[in-house]
Amino acid sequence: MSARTLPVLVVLIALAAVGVVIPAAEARAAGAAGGDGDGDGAGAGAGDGVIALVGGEVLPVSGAVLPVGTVLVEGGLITAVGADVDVPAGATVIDCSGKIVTPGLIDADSALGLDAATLTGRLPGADVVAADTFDAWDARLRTALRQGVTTLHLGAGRTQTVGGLASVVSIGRPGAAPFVRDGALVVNVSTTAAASGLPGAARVAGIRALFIAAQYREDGLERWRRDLAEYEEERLVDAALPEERLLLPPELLERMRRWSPGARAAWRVAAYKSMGRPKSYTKPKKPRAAPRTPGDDPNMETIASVLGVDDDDDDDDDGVRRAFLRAELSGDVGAALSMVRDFDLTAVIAGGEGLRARADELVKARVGIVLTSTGDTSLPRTSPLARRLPGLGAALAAKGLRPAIASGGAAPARFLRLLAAREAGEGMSPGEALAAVTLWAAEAAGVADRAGSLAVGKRADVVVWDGDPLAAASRAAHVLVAGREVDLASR
Amino acid sequence: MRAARPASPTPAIWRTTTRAVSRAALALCLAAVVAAPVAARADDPERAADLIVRVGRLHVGDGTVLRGAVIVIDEGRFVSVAEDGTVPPGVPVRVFADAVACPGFVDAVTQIGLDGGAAESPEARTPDVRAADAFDVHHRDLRPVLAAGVTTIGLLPAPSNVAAGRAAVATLRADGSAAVIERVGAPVFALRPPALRADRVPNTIAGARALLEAAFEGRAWTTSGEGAVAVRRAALDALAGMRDGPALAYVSDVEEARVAVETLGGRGLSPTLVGLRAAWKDPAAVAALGAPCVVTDLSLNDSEALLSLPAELARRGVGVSLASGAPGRSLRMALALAVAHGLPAKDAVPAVTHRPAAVLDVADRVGRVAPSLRADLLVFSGEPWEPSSRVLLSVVGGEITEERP
Repeated sequence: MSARTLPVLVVLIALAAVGVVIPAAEARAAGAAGGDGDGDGAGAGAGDGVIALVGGEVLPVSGAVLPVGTVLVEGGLITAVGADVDVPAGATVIDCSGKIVTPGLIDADSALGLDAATLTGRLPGADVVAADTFDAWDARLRTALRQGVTTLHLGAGRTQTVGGLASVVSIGRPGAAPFVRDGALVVNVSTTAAASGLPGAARVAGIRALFIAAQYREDGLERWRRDLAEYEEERLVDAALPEERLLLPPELLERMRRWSPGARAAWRVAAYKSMGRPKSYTKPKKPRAAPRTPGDDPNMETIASVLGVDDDDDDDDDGVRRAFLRAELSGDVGAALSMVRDFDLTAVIAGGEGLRARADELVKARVGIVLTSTGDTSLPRTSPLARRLPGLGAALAAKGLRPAIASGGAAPARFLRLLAAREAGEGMSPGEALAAVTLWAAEAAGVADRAGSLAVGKRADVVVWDGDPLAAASRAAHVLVAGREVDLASR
Repeated sequence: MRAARPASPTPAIWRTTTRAVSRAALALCLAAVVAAPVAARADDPERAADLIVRVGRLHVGDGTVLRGAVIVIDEGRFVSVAEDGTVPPGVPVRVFADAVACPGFVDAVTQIGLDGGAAESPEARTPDVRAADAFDVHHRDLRPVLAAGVTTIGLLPAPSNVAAGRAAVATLRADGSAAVIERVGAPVFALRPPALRADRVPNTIAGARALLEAAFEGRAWTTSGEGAVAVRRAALDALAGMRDGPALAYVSDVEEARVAVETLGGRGLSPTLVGLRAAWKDPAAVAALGAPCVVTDLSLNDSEALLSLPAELARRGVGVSLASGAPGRSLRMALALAVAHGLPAKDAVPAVTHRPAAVLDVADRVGRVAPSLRADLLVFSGEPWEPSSRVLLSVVGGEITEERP
């Protein structure tokens, strides 16, 4: 441990100690005032602030099933789950006998409430934050709530190469702050879903180029400028000199030597294009305009911030390095996996049939998995996105992966439980199918420490069903979002 | 009466005998259930039945449910079905004690395997277009449909012309191909866009009505002036020759449904309303027309009001069927969505089996688990309308295509 990090640690520990006290006090204050807090934990229901869900079959997802159990909710959080939990006097009791209690469902890749411009904007759109364009009054959110969906991981743009930052929001609390505003960086690796106009390899190379440019934005772009100025001269000296030698740091060049000539050529197209150079790369000329500096380019700024590139001189990564990569075909999944490795990303890969062939690599790479191909689309039959063979969820779960099942869209998000049910019908166990739309979805959305199961300390997003949550005919009888019961009757 | 029976290798006299024997077998079932499988074998002592299945519960297809049903299948057909049947020792039988069985699904309105071949024509009347003529019995889309439990499909000409043509019916085979069992099926009419469109006549519902009424009387219908349409004599004759029998009418809203029932019903045809995707605003008015309904294309993208339409119609006594419609739609998900929005359990299985078979006028051949009908059987781990139910056994035309013990 260096002398430099020690004082930082001391401060952190002190802050942590204070942090334990303050939120608790805040929660109490908010509860007493009955005021609406932010999306996270504050605010209790009317009355004494304790809600007891009594007598139901409890499926906590993170623990064993309780044939008859009690869930206590206070201050927006789950405070007790068990077979013999004492219900405090004055608590609001919800009788759940004959019913089934589960965590609220989480759609791990949703577009519900996002406007079309966010989803299909020009490329790249890294500076878009999904939560900023979320319409909390979208009428379909009501239906979703009635179907037990309480949380959405909004996957931001779907057609741009870089689609912005994903967010996590709660349904049923319009006006509340998002659960997570600046989430994972959404990257649409998939070559089929995109409107970039670039063919597959060049497209992937373009994304990589963006990342590389952001990663080396200080000296990299500085060198880029200098090298461009020297370009003409250098070219005369050595006509066969590969262009990238002029532009890139040596360690990357070393890696690129192993690429095929075709991959290098494709990279060059995309790199030149993405860095504001003219399209033609075969006969590059001295640029008339100076290349954009990273500070001028919000895309680069966002990518740089996610990758943790900062201006100070130390080598630590301040960014979260979280990425949400959409990859449909198995080739796209391979490209996504190589990005995860090369840029050291904490990643979730969302896709469909292409994941099956790469299951072993996905296990090794320790990435999260989201299944988004609903298989019930109006896509042309020739589209590989529409091709989905049965039993995908079961096949991935059998490999030890924890695939979240997501709608991948807006309207289908309402019927997340039927999508999970279908995976159960194709081989997942009912427990796995429920986990795939609760705990595993929370993991994919990066909120598993606060949501996704009925565990003490997690946020009280709870659904009481009048039957099996995966059965078509079942209905949600009660839905709690952040400890507050939602009125399901109103539209 | 239908002229063409499905192709069968056995001579007619033998079939008649089998039918008589199976009728006797059914009588025996009612009298003494234990004897049923034995009776089935008794008519041919040289060999046992091809397949005997015992399930916890059986949705026959017409709304009735049998407990502990024993189903005997021979030569591709159901031979006998008995409630609480026991199987004599020594007879090999597949037992699915807690499972639920139902007939193979019948998807009444599809364009699977047509690839647009039965669609476009510059003329509003193409009653002699036959969907069967454009049907590829080896189309690659047939296999996933079979895997989803659909064993009979109705092939409809696309709704591009007011008198669109003739429907066809095909059954799927275990190898993923199909066989057309009804080449010239019910006439199909379209009283909605794109058949009614701005660039040709008729382009209004009133015009379509006038065209049909004139055609039924054998008159050439024209508008005045340049909108006149040249009418092929054969097309006119085909329409004038329609006197009674079933008909299918693509409609979307209530007004189109009303005109379909009045015009086609006035001719003596028995119309079934197909589509109805804009009829959710007034289910009562649709129900009042008294025609059977096929709600098509239900998907995860639809509004709650539309997804509730099958339930609303069923509640008012309408015989509702569900159909996939456009390619890529899942009939099973449509059924699950309809049930999730209130379609009662007693209507759920009939909506995808017996009723669509009746709509296609093949209810005497498919759509129920009953003696002499084609042996299309699905055995699920739970209720057939639940997406979470797994297929444990799938029998198509008497052949097992999928089995999970």
